[in-house]
Amino acid sequence: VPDELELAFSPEVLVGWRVWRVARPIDREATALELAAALLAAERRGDFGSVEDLFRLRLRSLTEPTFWPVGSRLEASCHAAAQEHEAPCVGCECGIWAFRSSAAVEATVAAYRYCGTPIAFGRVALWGRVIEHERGWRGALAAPLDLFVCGSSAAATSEVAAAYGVEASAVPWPQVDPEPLVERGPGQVA
Amino acid sequence: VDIGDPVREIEIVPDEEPIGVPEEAPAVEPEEIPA
Repeated sequence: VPDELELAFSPEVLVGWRVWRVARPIDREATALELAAALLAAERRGDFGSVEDLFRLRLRSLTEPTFWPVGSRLEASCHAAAQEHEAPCVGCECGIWAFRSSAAVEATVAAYRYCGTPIAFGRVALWGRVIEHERGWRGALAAPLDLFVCGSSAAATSEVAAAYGVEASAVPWPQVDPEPLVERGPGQVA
Repeated sequence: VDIGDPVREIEIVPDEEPIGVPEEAPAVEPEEIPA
């Protein structure tokens, strides 16, 4: 991976596809101890909104415990390196990911079907510093543009749509053929 | 699924940031207690 890339400038946001979990920052069925710990964690990460907001459905990163803010942009940060750096960084995997193709996203949605939370996918706008890759982008700033929610009720889908001020539709899980775990040739025994 | 190798860097400064406006009811402010 080169240290420096060709640099371009644009006034137009990039639009890609990505996947989110749909979850509440604090589970309504949490115990008092879990609730206390979750409130403390919210304060430590600078989440100073009303406590009520922590019980509402939000978009959450698939792989990070990051909830997407309501009414404002998500700003990327990187804590992976020994020394924190501005995200996205060329030699790192940090930044807010988005894919060029919705097909790549559908395969990810199907893979998370049994993860225990509804899964949303849809278009996302990226801006600020963006690193363009062959099949997608990593951006510094992002906001959702529209959502399709799998494994969710109509009411929960509406709650998410209202929270982020975007259109959202409840849709069935995508039918994607799973890749075989082991490729077998003729006569091979598993 | 991955996004492949990096090809270029783009600095994007939009005229307006495309951020949706929440339609949720605002949080209820606690009533002021008179002194």
